[in-house]
Amino acid sequence: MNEFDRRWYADPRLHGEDYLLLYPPAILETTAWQVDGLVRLLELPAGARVLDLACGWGRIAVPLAQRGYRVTGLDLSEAFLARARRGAQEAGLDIDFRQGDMRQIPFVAEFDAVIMMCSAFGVLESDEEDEKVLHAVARALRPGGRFFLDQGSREWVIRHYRGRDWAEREGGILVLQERELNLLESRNYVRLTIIEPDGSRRVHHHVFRFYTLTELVGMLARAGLAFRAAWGDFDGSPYTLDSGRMIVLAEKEA
Amino acid sequence: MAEDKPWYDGFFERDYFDIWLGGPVDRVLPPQRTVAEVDFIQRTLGLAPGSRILDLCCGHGRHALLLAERGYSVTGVDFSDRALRLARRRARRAGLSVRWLKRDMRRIAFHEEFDAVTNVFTAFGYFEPDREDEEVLRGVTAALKPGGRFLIDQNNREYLMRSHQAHRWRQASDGTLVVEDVSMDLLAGRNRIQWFAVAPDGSRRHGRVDFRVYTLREFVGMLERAGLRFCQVWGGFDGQEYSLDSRRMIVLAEKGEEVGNG
Repeated sequence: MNEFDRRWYADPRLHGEDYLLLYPPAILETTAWQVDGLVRLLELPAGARVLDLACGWGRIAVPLAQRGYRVTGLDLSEAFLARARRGAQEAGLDIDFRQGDMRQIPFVAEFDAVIMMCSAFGVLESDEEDEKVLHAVARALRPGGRFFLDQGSREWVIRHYRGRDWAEREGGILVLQERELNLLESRNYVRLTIIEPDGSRRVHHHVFRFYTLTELVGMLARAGLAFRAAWGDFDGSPYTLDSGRMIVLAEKEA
Repeated sequence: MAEDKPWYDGFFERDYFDIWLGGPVDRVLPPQRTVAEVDFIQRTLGLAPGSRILDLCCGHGRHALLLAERGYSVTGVDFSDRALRLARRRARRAGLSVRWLKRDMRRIAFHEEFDAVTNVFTAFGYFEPDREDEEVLRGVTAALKPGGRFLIDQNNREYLMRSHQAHRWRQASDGTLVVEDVSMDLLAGRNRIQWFAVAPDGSRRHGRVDFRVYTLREFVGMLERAGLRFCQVWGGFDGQEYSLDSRRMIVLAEKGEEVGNG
């Protein structure tokens, strides 16, 4: 698996149009519904201060700010942040978008909630690096503050495992995925090929760590975040073997 | 979920043999199956004749007896009086010498005595919380000589997830129906089974079977914390590759050579 760079998440080639090709356009239609669920499940009081960690291009941060929450967005990618700032400006919103690594959140006891959406957790080089993120989250939360983590469910991936699949996007762009699951590491190695209508190809390599709920709850506890609830989707349905998402709520001990 | 008495308390004295296995032990687990399993154990442990082996949770001695027959010096540990009675009787009949001991697997209390420890047929993951399972592994590390090996055979969690069925039933050889209600507790990572058995005369017994199913990643982390190094994994006693669809997760681990390790 030599083609795989453990710092793939920092590759600027990922932070543009190709990232958007990964997700079906329908994800945009579900954003409002996701934000509704997020607000309800987090029990966010009006005007609460929220950090959107790995906010990307502001898909969640912008509609969240639209509902009156005071939002800060942190992401590694300047390209994503530029897009996010444009989105905020167009909506006439004041959102503090900052460039930074998710292991080094430059806030202490600042937020009522930290959110991490769309499987942004588990991309770092090792479990130890992932754990640093949780420590940084705990530090950024005020006592009693809440952490909302939206991940793909490991059990769903295991139960519906497909080594290869493909999708066709707007304009005839073909997106091919090849996956290799390493059970010793509990990581999925994904090779992504994007084929343009003129036949030109671009290849990306992604690596995702899949945590079981049990593992994640243990990691959260070590970081000072107490597990509160797990759901299978933004509608608050229970987390089961058939859930597509694993949404976890934890609380910083007061 | 929690009831006063853990499910394994008493289960292996009665229900395991009378109901759960589904028939007489030698019919359900025929000798040729044991031969194949012991062939694999012998091959993967690669021990010199006369080496000392601890079979942890030896049950009625299915593997321990065959290992003794093949010239190893075997100790069998189990917590079930009934299983140990069966094992002793079989050893006597076969003229084999095995040291049988009744001990709780969390407190085996051996010190650098064995060249290898085996734990086969899903005899791990009973305890809740996980740290008690980890105590078992620490006991294994202590029991092993430096450089000693540990072979453990568990259910493959990924296969259990993929083939999960909440309601299932089977019929034992005497016509008893064993009806199972299986739920996967994803927070605890445990397979929790409520079962009842309906005998041919209509009488019923009920009970629970409840065990932790570790992912390979989780289990290797636990081995490391207990002072054991992961060496290899297989998906079955035929030596097949470990994959999403293997029935078993068989792990070989090793204790470091350094004196005082673990």
